[in-house]
Amino acid sequence: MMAARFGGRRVAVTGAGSGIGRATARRFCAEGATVLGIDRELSGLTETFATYPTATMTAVDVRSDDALAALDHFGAADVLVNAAGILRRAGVLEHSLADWQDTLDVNLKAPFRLSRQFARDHVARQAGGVIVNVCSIESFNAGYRHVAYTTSKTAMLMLTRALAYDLAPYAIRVTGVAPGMTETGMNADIRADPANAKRLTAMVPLRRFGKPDEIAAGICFLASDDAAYATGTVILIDGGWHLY
Amino acid sequence: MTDGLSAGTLLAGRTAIVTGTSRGIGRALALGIAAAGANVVAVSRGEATPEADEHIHSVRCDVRALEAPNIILDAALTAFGRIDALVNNAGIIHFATPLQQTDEEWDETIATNLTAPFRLSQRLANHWAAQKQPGIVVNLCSVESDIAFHDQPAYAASKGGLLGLTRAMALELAPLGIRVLAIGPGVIDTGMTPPRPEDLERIPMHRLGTPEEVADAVVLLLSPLARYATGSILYLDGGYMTQ
Repeated sequence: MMAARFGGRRVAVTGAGSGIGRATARRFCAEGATVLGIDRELSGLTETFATYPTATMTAVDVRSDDALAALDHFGAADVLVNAAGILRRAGVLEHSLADWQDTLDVNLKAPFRLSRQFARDHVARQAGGVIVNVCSIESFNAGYRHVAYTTSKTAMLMLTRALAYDLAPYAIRVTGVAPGMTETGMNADIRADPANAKRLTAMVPLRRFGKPDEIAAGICFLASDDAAYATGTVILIDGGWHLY
Repeated sequence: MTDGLSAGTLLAGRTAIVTGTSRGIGRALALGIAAAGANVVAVSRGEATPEADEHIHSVRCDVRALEAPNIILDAALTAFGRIDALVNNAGIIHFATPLQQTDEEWDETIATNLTAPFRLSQRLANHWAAQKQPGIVVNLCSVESDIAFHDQPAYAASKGGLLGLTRAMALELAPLGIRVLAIGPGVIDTGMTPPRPEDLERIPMHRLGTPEEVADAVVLLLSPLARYATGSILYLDGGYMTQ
């Protein structure tokens, strides 16, 4: 029964070549969806979809018009997952303008542009749809040496709410997940040192990092009909990080 | 400031930079902060603040310009010899549905409401760090840093982001004695459009806020009375956020 949850659904996932995007793309495939995976490099996408040969892969920068064209070419998407994101660490006093701009462009403007295109298509077809944005615990709390990332994810939270409010009359739901520290390439360097990993997990009530699959589960719930009454909702999946 | 409270010395001897001072809330901020005893560097793109006197120095500058942080910092030091506070007020809004909001509107909104405050705050924080002196930044957020209004997705994203920027800078700069705070005004009567009855109905106090009330709250945050506060947002909305 679970395997058919997304049977006949068309799902576009950005950042599908690694981490949370990869786990999400695979889960949609496993549950019967027709999936478009977007990422910068084809190699990551190829690995993501190694056992799902029917998936469509497009290697483009999410900031580019090519990404919009890929979504358009895929056509009639029921679900858009904005999972592509970057993290540039630097102290606030020396954080470069280039890193700030790249972070806001990838994490915020690209999701806006893709969501706008998704919504235009849905309004034209008079079809409902679901957007799921990968926000962060940093949508609610600041991260140290993460000024651009924290800003982008807090902005994405409000983008999610604003789009949800405006697109509700069109039966387009806009939702998000807010992952805590999840085992992805984005933070592999700080998890690699066992002492540092222990220090970090000590701050998580569940005493471990999250797994990409555990975030994907939340994304798929929000995209599913089980969440038909949820819009503007952002689910924290963080091992309890936000409790203290 | 309400009669009976003596605000005239709360900010005595301080110098505050205020952006977006040509009208509305920004103009009231410049006047209110000056009335609390501070010297004010009033930054605006267009008209200078008309009441410029020995306590208000006007600087004509687009906050988005690459050189804006240096120009504003230099002007403030030249005029008053020191800087104690920055109030990031300059902001724009483009009304459009998510289907119609353009890339140009998005870019202009993010550049003005988010990137300019980041760059100006970063410049000032570096100045304060180098001088080993404390400093205060107050960012003009909005109830839209938390809740949605219709047909302004770029503005909502920018104001949400500005709250995140407030928290992130507060977290890192607290050890340096630099406080970073936010004000979240609700619907403020800037005299541009008369309030609609349905708007008033949504506000528990059944009235709009005034620019002077926003200025009073910013004076409070800038003052020693708020010295243990950093990273927090004060909503100023007649109870709007309670609903």
